[in-house]
Amino acid sequence: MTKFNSSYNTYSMSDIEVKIQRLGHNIFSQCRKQTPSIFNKDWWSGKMLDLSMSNKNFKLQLFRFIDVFPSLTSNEDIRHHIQEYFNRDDLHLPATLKFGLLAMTEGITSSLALLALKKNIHHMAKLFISGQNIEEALPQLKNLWDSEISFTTDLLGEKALCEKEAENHLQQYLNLIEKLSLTSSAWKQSSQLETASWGKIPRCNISVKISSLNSQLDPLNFDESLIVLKTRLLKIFKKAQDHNCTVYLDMEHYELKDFTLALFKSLLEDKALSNFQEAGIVLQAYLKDTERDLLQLIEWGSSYQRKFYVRLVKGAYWDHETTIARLQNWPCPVFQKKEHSDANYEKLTNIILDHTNVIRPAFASHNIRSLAHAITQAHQRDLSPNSFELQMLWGMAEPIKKALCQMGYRVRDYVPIGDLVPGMAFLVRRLLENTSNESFLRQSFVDNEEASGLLRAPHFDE
Amino acid sequence: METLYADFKNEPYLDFSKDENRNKIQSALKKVKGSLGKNYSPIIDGKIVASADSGDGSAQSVNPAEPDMVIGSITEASENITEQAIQSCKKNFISWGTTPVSERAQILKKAAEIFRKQKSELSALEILECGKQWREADGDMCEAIDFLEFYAQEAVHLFELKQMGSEPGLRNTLYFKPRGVAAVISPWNFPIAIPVGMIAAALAVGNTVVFKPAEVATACGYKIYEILKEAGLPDGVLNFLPGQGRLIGNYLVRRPDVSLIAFTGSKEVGLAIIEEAGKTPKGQNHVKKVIAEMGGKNAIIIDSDADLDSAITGVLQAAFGYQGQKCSACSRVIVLDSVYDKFTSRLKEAALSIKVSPAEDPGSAVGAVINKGAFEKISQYIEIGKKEAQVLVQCEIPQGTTGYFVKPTIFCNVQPNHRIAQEEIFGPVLAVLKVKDFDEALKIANGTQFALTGALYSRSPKNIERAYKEFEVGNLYINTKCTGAMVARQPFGGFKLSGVGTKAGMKEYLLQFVEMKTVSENTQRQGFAPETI
Ligand SMILES: Cc1cc2nc3c(=O)[nH]c(=O)nc-3n(C[C@H](O)[C@H](O)[C@H](O)COP(=O)(O)OP(=O)(O)OC[C@H]3O[C@@H](n4cnc5c(N)ncnc54)[C@H](O)[C@@H]3O)c2cc1C
Repeated sequence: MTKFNSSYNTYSMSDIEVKIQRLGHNIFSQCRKQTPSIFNKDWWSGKMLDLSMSNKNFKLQLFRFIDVFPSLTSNEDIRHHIQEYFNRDDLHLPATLKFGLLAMTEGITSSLALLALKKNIHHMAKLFISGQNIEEALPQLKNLWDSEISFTTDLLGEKALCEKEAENHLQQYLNLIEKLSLTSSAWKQSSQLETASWGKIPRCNISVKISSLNSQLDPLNFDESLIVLKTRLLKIFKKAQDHNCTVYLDMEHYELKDFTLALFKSLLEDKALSNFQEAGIVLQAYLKDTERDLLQLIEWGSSYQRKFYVRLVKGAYWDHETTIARLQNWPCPVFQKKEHSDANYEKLTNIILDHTNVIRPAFASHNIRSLAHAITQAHQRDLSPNSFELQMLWGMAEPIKKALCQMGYRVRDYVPIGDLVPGMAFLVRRLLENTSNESFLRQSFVDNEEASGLLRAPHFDE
Repeated sequence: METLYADFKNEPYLDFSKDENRNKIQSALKKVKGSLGKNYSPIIDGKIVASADSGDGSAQSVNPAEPDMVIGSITEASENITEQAIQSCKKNFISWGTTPVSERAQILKKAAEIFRKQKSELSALEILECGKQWREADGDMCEAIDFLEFYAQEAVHLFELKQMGSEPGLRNTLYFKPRGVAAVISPWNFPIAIPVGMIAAALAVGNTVVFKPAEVATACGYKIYEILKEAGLPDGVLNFLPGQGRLIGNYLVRRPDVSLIAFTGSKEVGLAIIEEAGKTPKGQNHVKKVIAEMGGKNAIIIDSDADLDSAITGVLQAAFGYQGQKCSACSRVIVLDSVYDKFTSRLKEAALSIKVSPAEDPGSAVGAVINKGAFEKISQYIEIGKKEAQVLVQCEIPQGTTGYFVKPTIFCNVQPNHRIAQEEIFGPVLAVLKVKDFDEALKIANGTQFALTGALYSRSPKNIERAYKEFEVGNLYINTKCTGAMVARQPFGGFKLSGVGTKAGMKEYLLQFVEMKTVSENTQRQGFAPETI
């Protein structure tokens, strides 16, 4: 496979493919010269990520260190861990870095150096996490809104260990909806962000991880888990209904996929929500099951005459799913080639766009090819630009967001709120994703691969 | 590093996120409930036997969560019948011991196939007879299948002739031969996997087996017999003796015609067997071999930098999964001072969130303990704990139940010398101990009679490395819970008073079931040898 042998110039390319690539190049030309903040080498985080992309051993130690960091309570503890993680021969660190790291563990400057390290790690986390609590996050959301970018917020703290934590998460979500709707009502009008082809859409938008709402959630105990979660989510959905807020159920590990879909349907079938048009679900293109799930969802939606959002993503747990399947000797639920996930993303995009009578589409990706394909396919079906939206993660791919926003599309940021400790799982997923060899952002903004290669149409079989 | 058994594929667990798999167990439960109440009698040479002194069939195996539900009635074997079983095994050893290993392996593999087909129903039976939760029961089935496949495969390798040395003129060959009659005395806590493991190992290398299942797991034990027979095991190679351990077990251990005893159970019984089997009664021309897996007082250490989310989940599963009635269960958690408060308060809340209910309920995290005796013993230990230490949390049990439910209990402020920190309780009782540093943690972890399993939750490479070397247990787990060992991946077994013998689930386990023979043949004639001619 030669990446640079683009099909852009081949005459066998279909009309639509020509249009996709033209749009892709157009987006690229607007953002190529800028650097997304995470790759900015003026910052410690950018330098660290840069080094980890070329040094696998260092990457492993760095990410493990970042994972343990929030639980280290004393300087003494941090020093020990720095020694144990980085004072190793197999890292082959540049002398300056090694010296810098070890300077934190001894000598008179050590406390200062540690302070700087703490700041740097917090800074890294802040690239992806908007604030420790709602109050801290609100100004960030307002800034976004002022720059014509919409948001969906998520409270970090993924798995609840006990029912007290789960109840607490529930209260926080209810509180979040109230505060968001109160605060955001004072913001300026934006026709780009608030008008969809079907009418006015809410300013408030939240994303919920169901595993944070029930500590005993277990798909084995399907019926009972469903009852408990439905009761809790009904509170959130009703609150959202009262405060004009959209609610997405995020999609987590494959283990919860069937359950989450069943829960979503069961919620929307509830009488209390029969008028609620603001529910959304996430589908992951890296799953081999998803096409079937999507078709079933469409069939269900038509028969219940319900409209809902579908956020199409590729999926954030690829390493986990691959490892678990191998560990358990289970068939692997995710595609094993990146290109297959990309191809499936496009296939699912087309199915979604063919069913806008049921689905309100949201394409969540930082991949210019995936987005250009979705936009072009929508256009091809005579769907207006505001009949779908484009979603990206807070702190990532800023140049792409800006370009799309300027082209008049509704762009929504996924904005996490929360402490570093509960946010660690999220942070590590983002770091893995951005430094992966397969990452579109890395290939575009770090490896500087040719646009034509990056925009090539993905195929299932090669 | 050398990789062992890289090609062995463990039987996959059921993926319960799929509704077809949940439905399988649900309908199996229905089906099994509709066919309970069979009678289980001794079977020798393929025939049901009775004698004047055998039981009258009034003994019963019941559902521990609902003792009125009779799983089956038992005609208990007598000494007389036990002797018949031994003699039958002795007689049949002549042909079974000389059957080619490949044929023996074939039968075991066929049995694995049948187990696979009946997996759901066997799980359902375990859930009802022994109070195992769905996942636990399914895990037990997979382990049983693994044992059959693995020992079949490894016995074939073992019996391939091995030549020692390569010098010309003298050919040195290593042979293995079976020992004779094996007595398998099995526990109820892994009612299929553990007896299948011991039986499969014994049969694969050519021994015949007198099988005495735990009485409270008689129906599960019978299924093992039935399946092996269906797989083509000749009559009398495996004789089935339901009944009381005290009577049958004692008798088996003393008899001169028994060559080998494979036992899994309590330390008390295990030590008594070792002592008794050490005597050599008149007419016994061998020293009995005893393989005994006994108990544990397994500890999990929580380091100051542990990931508490996974540590707490792991501790609760290891301590309360199957009501703490696993030899590998965690009964002590040793927590570094700096995380003690955070850990215990979250552990407490997490414990309060779990559900105690019959194992049949898919939401059951903790079910009923095996029988009245266990109920009483565990309740006594909880009383002892209340005197010695302080209750951190006690979970509620179902209202108005007749089942043997004890309140899962966690004690804090436990001292290393307390009885609840030293004696095996075999129930959902957990002792939390606070330590000032990692040195003390290791010292306390190692400070019991036992050395079976243990775990460490830590993200310090240095402490992890120390645990590899200094944590004295047969099976150590790092950043994962201390239960759920898998065949060929985590061969299982401990030392100190936790057991004698080689770990189950690895090739070397089979060596205990055979005698070894070295043959040296001078191949020279008048100075020429096959190698030189
Ligand atoms: C607004 C928003 C909300 C999100 N919500 C969720 C959610 O609820 N649940 C969720 O799981 N994810 C969610 N994600 C994350 C998303 O799934 C992706 O991880 C992320 O967007 C990266 O994909 P991409 O298209 O931007 O980048 P790309 O670089 O084009 O794609 C990267 C993705 O490709 C896939 N991939 C990588 N390697 C391989 C391989 N070898 N074989 C097959 N596939 C591979 C993975 O899914 C990986 O994340 C969300 C993302 C956004 C922007």
